[in-house]
Amino acid sequence: MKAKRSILLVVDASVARSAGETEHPVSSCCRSVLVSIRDICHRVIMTEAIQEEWHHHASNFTRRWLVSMYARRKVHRCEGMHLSHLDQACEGLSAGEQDGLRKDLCLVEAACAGDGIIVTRDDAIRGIWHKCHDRLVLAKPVKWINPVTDGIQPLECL
Amino acid sequence: MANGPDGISKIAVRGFKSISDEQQIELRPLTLLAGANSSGKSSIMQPILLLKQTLEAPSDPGALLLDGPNVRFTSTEQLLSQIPGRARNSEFAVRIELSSGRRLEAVFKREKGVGFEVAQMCCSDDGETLRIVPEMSHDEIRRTLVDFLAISLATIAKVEAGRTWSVYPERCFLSLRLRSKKTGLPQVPFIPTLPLSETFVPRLQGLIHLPGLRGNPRRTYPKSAAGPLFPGTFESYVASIIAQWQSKGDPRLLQLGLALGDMGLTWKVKAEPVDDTQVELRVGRLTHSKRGGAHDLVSIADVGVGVSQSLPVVVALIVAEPGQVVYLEQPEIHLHPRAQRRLAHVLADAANRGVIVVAETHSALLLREVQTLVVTSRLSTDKVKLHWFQRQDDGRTIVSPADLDENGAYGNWPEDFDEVELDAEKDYLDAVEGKGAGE
Repeated sequence: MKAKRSILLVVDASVARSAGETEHPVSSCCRSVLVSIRDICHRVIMTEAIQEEWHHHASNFTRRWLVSMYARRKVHRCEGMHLSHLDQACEGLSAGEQDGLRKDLCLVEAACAGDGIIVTRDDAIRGIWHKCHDRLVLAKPVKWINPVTDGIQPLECL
Repeated sequence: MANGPDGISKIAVRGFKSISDEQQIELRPLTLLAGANSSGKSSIMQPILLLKQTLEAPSDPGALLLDGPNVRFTSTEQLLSQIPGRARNSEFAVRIELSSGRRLEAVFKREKGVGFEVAQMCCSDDGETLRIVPEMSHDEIRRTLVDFLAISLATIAKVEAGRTWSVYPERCFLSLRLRSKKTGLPQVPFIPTLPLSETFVPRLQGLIHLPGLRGNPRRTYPKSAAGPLFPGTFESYVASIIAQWQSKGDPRLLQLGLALGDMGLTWKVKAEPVDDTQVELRVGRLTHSKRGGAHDLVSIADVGVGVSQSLPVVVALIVAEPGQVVYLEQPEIHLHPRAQRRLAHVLADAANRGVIVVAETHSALLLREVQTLVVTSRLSTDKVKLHWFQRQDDGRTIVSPADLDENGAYGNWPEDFDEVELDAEKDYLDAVEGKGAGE
């Protein structure tokens, strides 16, 4: 069913990679989420950094999905919203957590340029984010969806 | 987008098969008709083919030749829309619009025991419409002409010179003629400012039609004319066109070889007259030229069917003149996916020359390649038009048009090729995943 409002969301390359594999039940959940995004008529953000990650991890399935999203004008190419005060946000995080945050910051920057939704399988970054996001001034709150543990229901309720 | 020198730019149909309510398609140099099987893609073009075969019939078949070389019907009922809960239509209409804005609409009504009759014809030009119905009296025709031509009664009286107006059926059209009071015989057709013989008829007769079933490859082909008009379906002209190109050293022969080579089919086609009535088509066994390969030719009947099915498509696209409509039903049949992609380039070349290519397709690859040609600026967005055909629950056909943007995207066009492919891929991966998990 089509959404009343088409949401601009970020899909992490971890979902793209898993969707092309056959790891039970992770892969089928990722495929279901991608198909739902298309059917519900949500749109995805592609920043340069995310696009590059997708190129590394895309499978036959995810390439087809992305092509069909492009053809339907449901891919929004833009620059992510730069987040300031990152050093401040990193205070109190371990070195590993700081590296993790910096590595996946492109997802948050892209989400801030869209409607603040990130679809990812990576619960680690989600955990780090919960520890530090209070210290950042964000244009909008960031919501995380894990296709495996959350399923497609959160997408339908957006 | 003007389609060459006053080419056909729009076709509208109503009451015909599944096209119960009026549906129209805009024609651009590359017009793709897509949709599921039996969604009505062919039905939008069949009325045009009916007009073509009626005009081309050697003897006067009346208002419509139902069973001809382009379309084959055996009863009037087969043509008329029948939607559940609605009375069966007793008429259908077809309207053709040229890029100059001139329009011609003909309404065909079923008369029991007679077949179809032309019930009404409307010609429009510059916003003025001339409506002709068979039962018009002399005075009605006169008044209509005075209004349509914006002339005085005195002027029309001069033209009449004491004769009376009548409506005459002329195959699939109606004409106005002056009847001599003395002899009672009708005289020359009189449809001023809209001479059918100079506008619509040549465009209908000039249409090149290649049906989805293009026949089995043959050892020899009967000799035929080589254009510029191709009555009936096009495939029977191919051998003679190639023979003519050969004898005249026409550069289009080279173009043909390059296109077929590019599609991975063959690099050379040669027509060899067998006698005064038959021509044999021989093709290179290899896809690209090699030393000594000029003699390595075999009959087209001895190579893959993809060659014999694609050859007429490529020849039609090369031989067509700017503004001429080439209607291809599933040009991609029997082609390997790689060849389907390259076929899009052949279609685009013809479109870029101003030919109006109307292709009915089920090929996602063909569409995707067209999108790529647009993104890479080898085909401009205003040269492409997409039409998606869908059947409603009650059986009616609805046509959804779409334009490609500069990224080759078509937005919310209800195309489902991607969905089908993605679903197939998903189902396969889900099945492998399920099996691995012991489900």
